[in-house]
Amino acid sequence: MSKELLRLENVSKSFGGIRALNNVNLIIKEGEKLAIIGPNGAGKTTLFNAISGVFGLDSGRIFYMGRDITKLPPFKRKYLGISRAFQIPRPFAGMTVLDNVVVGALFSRDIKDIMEARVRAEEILSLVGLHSKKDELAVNLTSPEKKLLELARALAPKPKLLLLDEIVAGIPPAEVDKIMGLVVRISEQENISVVALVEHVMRVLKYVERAVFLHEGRVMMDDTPDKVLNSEVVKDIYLGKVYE
Amino acid sequence: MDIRTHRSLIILFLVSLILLFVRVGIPETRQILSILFFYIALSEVFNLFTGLTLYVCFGYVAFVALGMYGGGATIKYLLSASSPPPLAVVLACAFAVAGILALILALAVGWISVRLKGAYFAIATIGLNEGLKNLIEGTGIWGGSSGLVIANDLIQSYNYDTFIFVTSELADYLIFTVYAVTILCIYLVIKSRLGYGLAALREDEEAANVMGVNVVRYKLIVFVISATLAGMLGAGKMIKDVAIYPPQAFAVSYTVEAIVISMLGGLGTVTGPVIGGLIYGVLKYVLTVSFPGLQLLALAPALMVMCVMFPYGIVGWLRRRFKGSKIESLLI
Amino acid sequence: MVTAEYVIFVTIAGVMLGTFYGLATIGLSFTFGILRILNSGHGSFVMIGAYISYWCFALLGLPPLVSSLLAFAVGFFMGFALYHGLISRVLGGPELISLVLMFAFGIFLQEVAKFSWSASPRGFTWGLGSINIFGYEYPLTRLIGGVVSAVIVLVLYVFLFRTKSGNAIRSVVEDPEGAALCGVNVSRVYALSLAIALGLTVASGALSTLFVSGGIEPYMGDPYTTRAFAIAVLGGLTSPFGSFLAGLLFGIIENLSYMLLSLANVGNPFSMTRFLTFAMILLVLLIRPQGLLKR
Repeated sequence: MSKELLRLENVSKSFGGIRALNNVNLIIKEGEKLAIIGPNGAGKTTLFNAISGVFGLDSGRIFYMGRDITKLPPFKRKYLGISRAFQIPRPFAGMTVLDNVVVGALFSRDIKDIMEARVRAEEILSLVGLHSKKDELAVNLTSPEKKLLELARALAPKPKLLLLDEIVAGIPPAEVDKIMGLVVRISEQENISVVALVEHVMRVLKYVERAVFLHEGRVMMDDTPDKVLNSEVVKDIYLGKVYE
Repeated sequence: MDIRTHRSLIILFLVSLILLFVRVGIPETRQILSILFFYIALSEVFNLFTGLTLYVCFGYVAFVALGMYGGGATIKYLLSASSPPPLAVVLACAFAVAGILALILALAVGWISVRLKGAYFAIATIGLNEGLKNLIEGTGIWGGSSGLVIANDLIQSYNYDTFIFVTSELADYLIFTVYAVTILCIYLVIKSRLGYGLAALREDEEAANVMGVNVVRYKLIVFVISATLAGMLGAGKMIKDVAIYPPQAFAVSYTVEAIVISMLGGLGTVTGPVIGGLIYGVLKYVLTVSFPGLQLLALAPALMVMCVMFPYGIVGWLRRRFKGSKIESLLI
Repeated sequence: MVTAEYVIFVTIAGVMLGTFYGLATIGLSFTFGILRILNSGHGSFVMIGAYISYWCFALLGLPPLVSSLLAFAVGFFMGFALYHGLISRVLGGPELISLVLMFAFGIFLQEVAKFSWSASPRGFTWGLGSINIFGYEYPLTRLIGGVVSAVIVLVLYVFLFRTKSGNAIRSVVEDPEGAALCGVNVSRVYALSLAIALGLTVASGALSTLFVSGGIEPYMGDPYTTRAFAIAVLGGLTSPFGSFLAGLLFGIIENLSYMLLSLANVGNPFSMTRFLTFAMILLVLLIRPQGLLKR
């Protein structure tokens, strides 16, 4: 029986007068792969920010491996194994590709030695296919390469929970399969739970076992991808957006 | 431990030692090199924090002054006893007290300030000079506005020859030692996990935080180390000058010169302030001879131009220009 | 003798002084709120204003009220020159650069002043007599200084909220990209804002001579810098009117502090108050960095 990894209990967050997250309850188990879907402004990114610890919650709690992490700052959550790849890659522009991933590896619970971090970084870069560019400055990479770098940075610290923020946005369909295949392979290899935030649902759904549909900050549906996509509720809200 | 990986640091040490020998061996150079050592040490200490974090600490002169006062007061106190302790003990205590006082102040101010973003941090530290100066002048401790003089105490406790030796020779060696310790610290930091974290912090503090770097703690660590070394440098300067007066101790020119030297040489590098210091030392000498009293008038626009056009400094520029080559790895 | 009247007198004096302090700080918040640049050389601009007031009086017999207009113009012009010459080039870069740049410019102003007019302190008195408040003599010039400062801030308010340029400035504070999309020339707004900010700061320097008749020397700006930072932090660094209110508060507190410290005989009251100002900065930054008065 898979252990519970992350639990959100009655999480709410408002900005100004807008309720971005409205009483969200969510449980993620070890090794699960799920997609967070929903129209623009549904609260997907806010949900990720809440899990990462970018801001505090108005109400509710977050548990990670049984421990209450609601008040924990972002860098501490990373130590516990929550890793995030951002939608708009923010690599350390003046540092090399290798160094970027080293930072990801070095500041984690398992790896404290620079040499060890380098080895792990090179390993990950090979896995994602960026090894040949390891000494390039991050700022010189192409857009898809930056996405791969972002993924590498997020995978380097041997996380238990991987938050992928629009990992396949702006990527041609052929590349999507490559990246998603990569993600699935690595996640199964290292027993990582993957939560992918997507707006263009169809591209990703065949790689996940579960879909959580958010709308106006509320979890409307949480089930297998088939059931979610075919539900009346979701069809109504999406109004054909699902079928690009 | 492979010696070759640290060859750049070793080369720098050797070059510095050569300069020291020049100062010892060639009497004509004594005065100018002694001033240079101080300014290079000052800039390295400044560089240790500001270069590695890109946060401007305008107030670190307060730490130097605190070291001067703390060291001076310690010496005065120890020498007021009926049988003064041996010179080595007195000097060691002076350095220890100076360092500890600076460390405490740095912890107090730093703990509040390093949580703040750039401009707010500048505000918190820019008032540090004024604040400490006014505290001393206002309460009259440590001599208040009249200043603190330890010359007589030294002459009376030991003999005149020792006094001359301490203030003209030993003080410079002590300052050199602080310089050596500082560049060792910078080097060790850069090559460590702390250094990686700081590099990430410099690029993008928010992203670094999310990537697991405890930015607040790292900034605090470097701030405190830098301040403690600044305090010890102050102790060295006190031993050299044997007198301190508030307006001179807290002079803004120290801040400006340290910034100029660090930026001229290259912020965040170990060799930068050395090169910057040497060049600046020569320039200052020329300016003092031809246009006395006008240094700051010339320095200020130079600094402004550097900000706009040449922010990486000489070493910074060289490292970019020769990226990936031997030169880059030599110019740490 | 500390009577209720004396305390009220000190408080009123503090209010007058406070409106002046508020005016002297508004430039700082303006610059930071709009350009996100901290004027680390703030005090030097105040110093220039004081010198302008001195020379207008000494050479032309003009009272500080008139010379403050000239001072505003000088600061205004400096703002444009600084923006186009230097600031625009460092605007997007690391904060360190702009901080050092403004710091260096402040030093430059100090050294130019020292070179041109020597470091000997100057002063003058525009003798207008005094009025009687609760039996204590209060110089009329200070009263005028306080009132004029308040009027200037009122004019600023009208400008910001009732004119087209003012609205453009406010829109850039809210949302620079949105404003640009709406056709606002953001670069011109920045230049104008810096010009206004420096104009106000230099003008406040001219008005400072209404409060203090001597001590005009190249390094007089440093306490003003610390004070302005304290007030700005108190009122919210990005809010000009918050700064004004904080200035009022600060003027009162400072005066009361002088009074209490003189009575308590704890060392030199002026130095101690300056030290306490710095301590207050740290305290506010610790407890409420966004300022006490910012909503």
